[in-house]
Amino acid sequence: MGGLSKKAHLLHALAREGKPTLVVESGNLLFKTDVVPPTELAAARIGAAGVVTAVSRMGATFAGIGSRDLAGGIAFLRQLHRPPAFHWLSLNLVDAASGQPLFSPLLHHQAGGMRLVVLAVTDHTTFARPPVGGSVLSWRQVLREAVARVAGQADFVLLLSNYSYTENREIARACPGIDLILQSGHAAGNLGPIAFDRTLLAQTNTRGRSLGVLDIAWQGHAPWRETTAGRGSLSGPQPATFSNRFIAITPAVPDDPAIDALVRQTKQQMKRQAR
Amino acid sequence: MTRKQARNNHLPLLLAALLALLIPGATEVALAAELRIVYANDTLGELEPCG
Repeated sequence: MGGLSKKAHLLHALAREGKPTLVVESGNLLFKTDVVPPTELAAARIGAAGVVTAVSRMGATFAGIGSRDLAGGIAFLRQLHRPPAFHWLSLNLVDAASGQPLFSPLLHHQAGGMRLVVLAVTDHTTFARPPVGGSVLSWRQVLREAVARVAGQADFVLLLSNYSYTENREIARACPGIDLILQSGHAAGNLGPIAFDRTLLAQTNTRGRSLGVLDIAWQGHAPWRETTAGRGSLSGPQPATFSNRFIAITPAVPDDPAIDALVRQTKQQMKRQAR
Repeated sequence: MTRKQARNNHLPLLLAALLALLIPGATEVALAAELRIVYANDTLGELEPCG
């Protein structure tokens, strides 16, 4: 199952618990495939714009760029890139001519009294041809230096990675300073969280079928430890502790009326376009 | 709550306050920030329940 209106209902319920919360879209938010047939593109773009409006209303202010987010073209994605309300993030998706990032390479964010830096990398290996007007560099060319540059300015470094589990394990080893990697694009169900010493890795199932909820008690960059209590102690070394759950978005979850209305409106627009 | 339990409950706070006074950097150790990250990936343009 899944569905944006059910996700919105769950987010409202979680917000009522009163914890400082960061809503994250890790990547591959917009399209089912890397390439959309030309006859379906206009309707798919309407749907994609509706998805961004919906997740914005749910509190998301950024998303990582996965390879499938580029199926509507770079120019289309730039229309949906509306800082400061909503950032599309990629450190390694660059302008083919200038080599400069085409979207926000990183984002500084304040949440729960913590200074966060959010970075994102797009999987360069998934492209048979580079996207028109752009070039996707390997993470090895850009990420280590970027993390080293920002790690001292942040309490917490979050990487949204469109790379595979194997590559992300290598990223965690090669780029010390990343506290959490949220993966997209290689999902086979919910994954993790898995701790690689000081870096935690997790992803959810595809097509909006589950929501990951990661509660962190943060003492500073340190090896991770899973806990149900969510707190460290005053004596001895202070690990960063976490507890995680995946909430299945099933038919039993009610719909949020406002997002449900937006989804219906978007579907009608897509149908009209397809006629 | 017994007097001993009350003392044990307050001891960490007293220690934290003492550390904060004596060692400026120690406040970072004593005070944990708490954050909830709600995350999802690969929505793939799925607006409605996908069955």
